[in-house]
Amino acid sequence: MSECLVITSGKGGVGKTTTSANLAVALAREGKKVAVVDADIGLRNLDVILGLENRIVYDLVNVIEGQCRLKQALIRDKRIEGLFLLPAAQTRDKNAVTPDDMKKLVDDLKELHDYVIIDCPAGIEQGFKNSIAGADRALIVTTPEVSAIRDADRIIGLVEAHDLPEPELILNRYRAGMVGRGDMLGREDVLEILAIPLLGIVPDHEDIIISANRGIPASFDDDSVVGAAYRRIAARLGGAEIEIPSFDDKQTFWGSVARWMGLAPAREVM
Amino acid sequence: MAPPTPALDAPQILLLFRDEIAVFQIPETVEFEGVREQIDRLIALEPPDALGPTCRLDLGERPITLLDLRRLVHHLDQTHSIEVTGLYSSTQAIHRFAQRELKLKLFLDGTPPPEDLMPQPEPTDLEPASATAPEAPDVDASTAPAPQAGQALDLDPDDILDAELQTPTPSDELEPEPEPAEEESGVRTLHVPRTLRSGHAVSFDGDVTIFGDVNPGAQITAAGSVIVLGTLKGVVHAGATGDEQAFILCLQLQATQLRIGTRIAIPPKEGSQGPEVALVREGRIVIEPYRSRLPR
Ligand SMILES: Nc1ncnc2c1ncn2[C@@H]1O[C@H](COP(=O)(O)OP(=O)(O)O)[C@@H](O)[C@H]1O
Ligand SMILES: [Mg+2]
Repeated sequence: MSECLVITSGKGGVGKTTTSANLAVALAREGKKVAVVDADIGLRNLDVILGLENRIVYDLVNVIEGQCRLKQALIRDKRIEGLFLLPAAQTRDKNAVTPDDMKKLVDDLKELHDYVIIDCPAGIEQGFKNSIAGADRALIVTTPEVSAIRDADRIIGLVEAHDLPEPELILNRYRAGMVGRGDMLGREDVLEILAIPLLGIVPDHEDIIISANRGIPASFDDDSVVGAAYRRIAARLGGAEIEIPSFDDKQTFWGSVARWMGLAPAREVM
Repeated sequence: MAPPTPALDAPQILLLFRDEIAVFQIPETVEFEGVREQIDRLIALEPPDALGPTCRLDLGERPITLLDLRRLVHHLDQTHSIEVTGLYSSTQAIHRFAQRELKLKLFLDGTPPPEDLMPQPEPTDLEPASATAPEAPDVDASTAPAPQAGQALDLDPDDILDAELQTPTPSDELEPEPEPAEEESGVRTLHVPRTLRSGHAVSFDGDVTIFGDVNPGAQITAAGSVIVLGTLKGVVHAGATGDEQAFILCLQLQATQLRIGTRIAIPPKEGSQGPEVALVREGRIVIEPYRSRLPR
């Protein structure tokens, strides 16, 4: 049974595209067949994050307008079996696509793949409506910031109005050190407001920026902390019960020294 | 309010029958934008099934781009379930495409097609022509076989499953603001006096010259050649209506992708210094240093 996930947030810049790319890679590494769709028409960048920009010939709008077949527009990632990108059109706008078009497209993609991941644009208008149209499950990305959480809350309401199952949360750019000092909202604070299941936490990490510039998502990297975080999230998507670590021991030098000295056992949370 | 009546002096598409097959005759004066609508209206006026399952298009002298032709064929198929099987057109640039990609039979001045215009059996355009590249070249520079100097990598045919290429549809098009300069040869050139940024698309039925850079995410589609007096980082499709003599010339070549005619290539990442020109030689796109004269 294949499933369509929409990665959405309301606010821009919180990590939807990063999450879409990394989850797609992580799922493909589990042996799944994955299509990741850039629904940010006119502002595409999933192709850049995945390092596939120079192989685009056709895009989502070409498929919808019947100028090419779906299989012609899907770009196969040669680094890993089973990963395909459907790029957005860059020179069109969101109104080139309707929710019905997207629903049909997602149905076609689901025939060919185990997972279809939709990278939703920011906002709550046309692009959001298109992205959610064919989705079976919504993953809400937020950072631990008040404004992002406010937008996430709004989006959760809209998702719930769309007859989808309860959305799940990915808390991105988490900095355990700041949370410890009381300078950042912690997971409990965020969950108290949003009150939806937490699928995972992704630490704020320079690997994301380095990997974005190289076009090689961190999930490819076995040694990356964020890559590992995304791989755990991918496993949880399939139902695996993997605990969410606290991230603080790996984040601060003194934390790891303290743990090594047996002073501060790693916190078990949730 | 009276229903709108079509203006009597508006150029009209005619529905005729030749060899008992419906033929839509589209005069040069009808704007492409209105063609599909007019055809819809013509079909609606006919009794059901009067037209049969196939039809032909008669474009006469009317120039048409590959994309518009494909749109028209697609429209008739999708909206009316009528397959276009034949074409009358004196626009040579689309003949090959019409035969090979759209599988249309060509009628020149109403006469059956001469031998040399008959469909050729082996259309394998996008496959690397060279036998030295049995493995599809990989895009990742680190694992790719080192390209020969000046040789662009042909795109993996795997990526384009059906070796068909058409010009994408730009909506955000920059208007050809400065009046295109008509040259004696009849080839028109569009001058664009600025840098094209991500999301900008220029498409033009002749040559295009950009006085500025072409950034990643910008796209130029031209029936003729493209000259970029700046750095080319985006995507350029020259000869988009099938002209493989078209070339792409720029001061600094770091393009995301180059397309000439029906061919696609990804240039090597490490761009060399100085002006370069991309053109088709022996069925492949190659990149050569530009030496103060037009290629060929
Ligand atoms: N976990 C993270 N650590 C560090 N930087 C991140 C992280 N997640 C996202 N970013 C950065 O935040 C910016 C926005 O991310 P992006 O995925 O493009 O967001 P969106 O798609 O929601 O607009 C990018 O520059 C990205 O590198
Ligand atoms: Mg994004």
